[in-house]
Amino acid sequence: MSAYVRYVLERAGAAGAQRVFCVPHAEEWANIQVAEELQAVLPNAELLAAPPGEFRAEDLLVIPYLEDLVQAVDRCAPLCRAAGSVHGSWALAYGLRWRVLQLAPPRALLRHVAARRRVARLLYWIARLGLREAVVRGLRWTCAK
Amino acid sequence: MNLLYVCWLDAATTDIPLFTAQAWERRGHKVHLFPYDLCFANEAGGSVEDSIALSDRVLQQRVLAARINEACIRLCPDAVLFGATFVAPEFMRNLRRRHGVRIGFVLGYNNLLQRDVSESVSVADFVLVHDSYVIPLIQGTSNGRCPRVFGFGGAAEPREHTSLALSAWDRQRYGSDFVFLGGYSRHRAEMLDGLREKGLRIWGDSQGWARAWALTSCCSSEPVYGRKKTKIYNAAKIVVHIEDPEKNINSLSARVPEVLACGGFVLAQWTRDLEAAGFQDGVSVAWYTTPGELADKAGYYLAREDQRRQVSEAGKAHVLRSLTYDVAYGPILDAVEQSLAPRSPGGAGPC
Repeated sequence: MSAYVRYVLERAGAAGAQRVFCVPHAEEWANIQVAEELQAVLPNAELLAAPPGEFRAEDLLVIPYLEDLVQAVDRCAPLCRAAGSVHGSWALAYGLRWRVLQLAPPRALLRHVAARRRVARLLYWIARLGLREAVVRGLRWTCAK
Repeated sequence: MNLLYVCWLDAATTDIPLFTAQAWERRGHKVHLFPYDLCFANEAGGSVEDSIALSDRVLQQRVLAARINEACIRLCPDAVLFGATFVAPEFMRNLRRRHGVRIGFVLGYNNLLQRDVSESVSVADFVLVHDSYVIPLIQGTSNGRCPRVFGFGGAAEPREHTSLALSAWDRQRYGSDFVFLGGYSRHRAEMLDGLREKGLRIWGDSQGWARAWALTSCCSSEPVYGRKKTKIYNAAKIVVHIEDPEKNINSLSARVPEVLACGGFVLAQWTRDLEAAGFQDGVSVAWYTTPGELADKAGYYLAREDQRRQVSEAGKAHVLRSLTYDVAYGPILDAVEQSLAPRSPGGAGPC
């Protein structure tokens, strides 16, 4: 089994997932790797080959990505929303390069990604207006209190 | 002991902090993991403060320090163990003063020349070190030394590192005559050069290995961790292990017990800690000391499957007897607890 994935699932309270659907990734090895990992951690869960018509509680939607979390979640936002309409379902964003896992209810993951996008835009404008140094200094001062 | 353990959990090629914490919990200690990645780095993006913090070292340390401070108020630990220089040494002192906790520090690499590392060692009440080489350098009572230093070598977790029944497809995908897992260093590239036309496969950071242009055809760009790593250990005929001398000198790498626990065969670079851990060359492991010996033994063992099997069976038995996390790491926290005087009742802090 993979102790780390199990730890993340248990920490979030999602270790009892009954059905798992992995959004296919362009890299074949990634699909194999994620499937093998989840089969080892959740041996009793059903690994779905296609997205379920209707999501149920205890379903786990896995979104593997190599480079960008925001783009990966955006690409399957309709699936995420469908999964999010059911209380007790989960979405796992699976960063393949460094095994960066983010597990949350699907709607929370969508909110997180939306927040990331807003923050990225804000940071862009802060840098563009030459305010980054002032903001950092202000935050350092706030944190030092 | 009630311990708060601040550590990395993702981005790692092994799960040492997780396995260690689980072994300590099985021994009756209470261990609260504070995974830097799951509690902070992966969550950033939800707030401007965190996102900016991640791009500014000082701010990053301060934001993280505030969260560790909150965790100390909530969990009332006896000690806080830092798995890396996540926070400034001054914050460690403040934490001790404010909450009356003991401070521990894990020295995984021999990077004592980095100022924040050496300062953290000086501040700590106890230090856990991976390489016995540095123990005489840091243990003591004066000149910034730390009196309580505990060594931890490599170990295996039998629930994770285990023999698997591989399919023919697995063998084709993960198998090869020689396998090396790990990051690039010039020393490693030089050592592996002699194996590049003998069925060598390298699994590691592909950007790093791109510097060894002669070996690029042997490199896989796929990341390796978890189940995949166990399969690679199982499928390889010979796993070659090479230390990076700029990181460790005497240490016993976790790679050796991990491979053996999987029933694999490992050809390891000789180190003092490898021999001190009870391994014997040609009996429970195979080791080499020079590049020439590596090439000779690689060819010798590749041609002798029976000998490989004998050595790996004896090695596995040795690891399961003496080098699991429960056996090798479990007692470390007991020893730490015994070495520290009990916290003064009603001492500093809210606990």
